[in-house]
Amino acid sequence: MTRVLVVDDDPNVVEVIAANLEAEGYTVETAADGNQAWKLLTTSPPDVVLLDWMLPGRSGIDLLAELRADPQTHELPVVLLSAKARDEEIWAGWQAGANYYLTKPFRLEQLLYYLKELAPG
Amino acid sequence: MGLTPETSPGQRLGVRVRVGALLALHAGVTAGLVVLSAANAGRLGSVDHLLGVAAAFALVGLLPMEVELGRTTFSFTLVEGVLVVALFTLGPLGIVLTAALGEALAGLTQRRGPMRTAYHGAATAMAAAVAAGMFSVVGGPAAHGAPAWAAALLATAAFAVCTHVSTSVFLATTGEGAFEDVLLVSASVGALGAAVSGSAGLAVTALAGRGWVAPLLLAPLVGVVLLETRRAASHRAERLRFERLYTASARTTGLQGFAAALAQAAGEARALVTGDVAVCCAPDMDGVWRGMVVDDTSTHAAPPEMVQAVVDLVEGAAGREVPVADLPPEARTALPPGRTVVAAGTTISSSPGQATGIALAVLRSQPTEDGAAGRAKVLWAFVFHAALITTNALLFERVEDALRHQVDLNRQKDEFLAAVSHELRTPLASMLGSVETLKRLEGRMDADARGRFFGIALRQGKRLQRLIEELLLTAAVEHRQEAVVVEQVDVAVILDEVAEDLGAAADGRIVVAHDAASAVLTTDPSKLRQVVTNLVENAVKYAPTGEIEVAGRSGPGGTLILSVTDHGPGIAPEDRDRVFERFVQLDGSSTRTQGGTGLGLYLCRGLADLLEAELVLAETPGGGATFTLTLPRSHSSSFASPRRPGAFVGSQR
Repeated sequence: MTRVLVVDDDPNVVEVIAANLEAEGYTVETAADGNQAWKLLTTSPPDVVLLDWMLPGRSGIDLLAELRADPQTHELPVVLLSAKARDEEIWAGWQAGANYYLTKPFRLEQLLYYLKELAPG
Repeated sequence: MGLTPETSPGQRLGVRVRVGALLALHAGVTAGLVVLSAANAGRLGSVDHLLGVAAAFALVGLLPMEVELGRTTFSFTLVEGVLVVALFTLGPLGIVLTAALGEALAGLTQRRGPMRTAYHGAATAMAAAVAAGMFSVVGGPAAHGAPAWAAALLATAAFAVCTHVSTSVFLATTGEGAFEDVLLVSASVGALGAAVSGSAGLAVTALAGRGWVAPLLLAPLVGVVLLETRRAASHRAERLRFERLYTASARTTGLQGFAAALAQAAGEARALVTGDVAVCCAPDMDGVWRGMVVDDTSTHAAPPEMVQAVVDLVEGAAGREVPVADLPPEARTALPPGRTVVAAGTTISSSPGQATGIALAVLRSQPTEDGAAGRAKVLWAFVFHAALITTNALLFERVEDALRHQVDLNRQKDEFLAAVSHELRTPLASMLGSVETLKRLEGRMDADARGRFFGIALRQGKRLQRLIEELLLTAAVEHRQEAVVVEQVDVAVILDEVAEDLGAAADGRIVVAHDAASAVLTTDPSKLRQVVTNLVENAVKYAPTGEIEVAGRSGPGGTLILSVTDHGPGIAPEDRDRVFERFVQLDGSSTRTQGGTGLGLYLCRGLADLLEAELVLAETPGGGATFTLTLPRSHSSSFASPRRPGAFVGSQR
C-alpha cells in the first residue's frame, strides 16, 4: 500500500484529496502545519508527500529544502501544491527540489497521474 | 584647486637642505669670482655711489614691470639697467655687494620669506659677480666708447642668463615647476626684458655723461611703463578670477543630490577666494535652510546655528570682506575660525518652511587686505551659479523621489495582484476539487460524504463571491469612486441592528451600550453599518469567549466614538498596524481558518476615511482587542459625488 502524506492547512483541500486518493487505494496521512509534517516525515517517512507552500509555522518551501538537505529524505518524492502561480514562484518551487509543481486550482486527474509516476505500484 | 601642493614636514626639510646647499654653492662661486677679479678691482667705489646703486637695486626689485603686447604679457625688472650703471661706476666687489643688498632689501620688503630672500640675494650676487668679471675681462677698466658698451651688454646678458638659470633651479628644487619648463618657457621673455632694461641702463649711463639731470629725461618713460604695469596686473587678476569662475561653473554642472551640490559650491567658493573654510547654505525641499562646510580636510553638514550665522551675514554684509572681529559675538562663535570673512548671497525669505535664496561665506586666515574687493566680486558672481546648481539638485532629488515612489507603487501593485491571485485560487481549488470529486466518485459515495462535498463547494463558492465583492468595493473606495450619501442617522438603531444580525453567530455574547447624547449624527448609514458589522464579525471570530461590547459615546470636540471591544487573545503591539493591511495573515498561513477575506479591516479603514472618521486598534484592559471609530458629528458634504457618476460598485445582490 502506497502511503501518501498530505500537508495543507486548508481542511477542505485535505478532505477532497483524501477522498480521491483513498478511492484509488492509497493510504493517506495528513498534517495541517509544517512542524507536524516534519515530525511525521522524520519518524515514519511516507512514499510520497503532497506539500502546500503557505503553512503556519514552517513554510512548505522551507520544509522541502530541509528534506533535500537531509540524506535520509533526499530522494523522497514531493509534489508541491500551491496557489502561488507566478512564474518566478513556480521556478522557486522547482529550485527547492520539488518533483512536480501543481498550481491551485488543480485537476485531480493530474494529481493522480503524478502520484502514479512517483510511486508506481 | 589652485592651492600649493601638500608637503609633509620631511619633504619640506629635504627642500631646505637642498636650497641651503645651492645657496652655499652660489656664495662660493661669488667669492671665487670676486677674488679672481680683485686684482683689477682696486676700487670698491665711492660711498655715495655705493649707496645710490644699492638703493637703485632695491627700488627696481620692488617695481616689477609688465607690458601687454597683444595677448602676451611681458614682465621684467630694470635690474639689468642698474647693473649697467653699476658696471661703469663701481668695482666688482661693490657691484656684488650692492646687488645682493638691493635684492635682499626688496625681498624683505615684499615679505618673501627668509629662505627665498636669502637665495635670491645669493643668486643676484653671483650673477653680478659673473657680470663684473666678464666686464673687466672683455672691456677692462680702461675701455671707453663702443668696446666698453659692447662689454657692458655682454655682461648684462651673462647676468640675465645667470639669474634665469638660478631661478629655474630654485623652482625645480622647491617643486614649483620642472627645470626645463621654467627655463624654456620664460627664456624669450627674460631675454627681451634684459635687452630692454640693459639698453635703458646704457641710455642712463650715456646721459649721465652730460650731467646728473639728463637721466631724469627717462623718468616719464619709466612712469608710463609703471602705469601700464599696474593696469596689466589688475587686468590679469580680473581675467584670472573669471577664468577660475568659469572653470568652477563648468565643473559643477553634473546632476547630483542637494547635499553634494552644497558641498561642491562651498568647495569651489573656497578655492575661488583662496579661503580656508567655506560654508554654502540653501533651503532644502521643505524650505528649511541647510548648509555644508568644506575645509582643508573634510566636508560635513553645518550645524543649525552656523547656518543661521551665515544667513544673517548674507543679510547684513553681503558682497564685502569683513574682519571676523567686527561681527557680533554669537556670530563669531557660530562661524568656523578665520580672520576675515567674505559673504555673498540673497535671502528672499528666510522664514522657516518657505525659505528661498542662497548664502555663501568663506573664511580666510591670511592677514592681507589685498584684493578684498576682487574676492567679494568673484564670490558674488559665483553665487548665482551656486544658486543654480543647488536648485537643480533640488529638482533632481524631487524627480528621483517621484521615480522611487512610482517604482514603489508598481511593486505594490505587482504584490497586490499576486496576493489577489493567491486569494482567489485558494477557495476555487476547494470548490472545483469538491465538484470534481462528486463527479469522479459518483455512486461510490454515501449520502453523508456527498453532503460534505456539496457543503464545501457551496461555502467556498460563497467565500469567493464575498471576496470578489470586497475586492471591487476596495477598488472603488481606493479610487474614491464610492459615493458617500449622508443622512440623519440614529446610531443606536444601527448598533442594535448589527447586534441582532450577528446575535445568533455570537451566541448572544454581544452587548450594546450607548448614551443618549450620542444618538444622532449626519453620515452615510450603509457604510457605517458595514464598518461596525465587519468589526463585530472580527470580534466574534477571533474572540471565541467573553462578551463583545459595542458602545457609542460622545467624544471630545463634538465627535462620536464607537468602540467594539472583545476579550479574546488580542493583537500584539507590533502587529497592530499590519492588521489594517490587505491579505495579512498574522501566522503566515495561506488559508483563512476563520473564513475571512483578508480585506475586512483594510476595507473598514478605507470606509472610515470616506466617512471622515478615524479607525484605530488598542488593547483591551485585561486582554483582548478594542477597535475605536471616531466619527465627526456631521459629514462635511451632504453628497460627496463620485468621480465617475454611475460607477457605484458595491454589492448588487
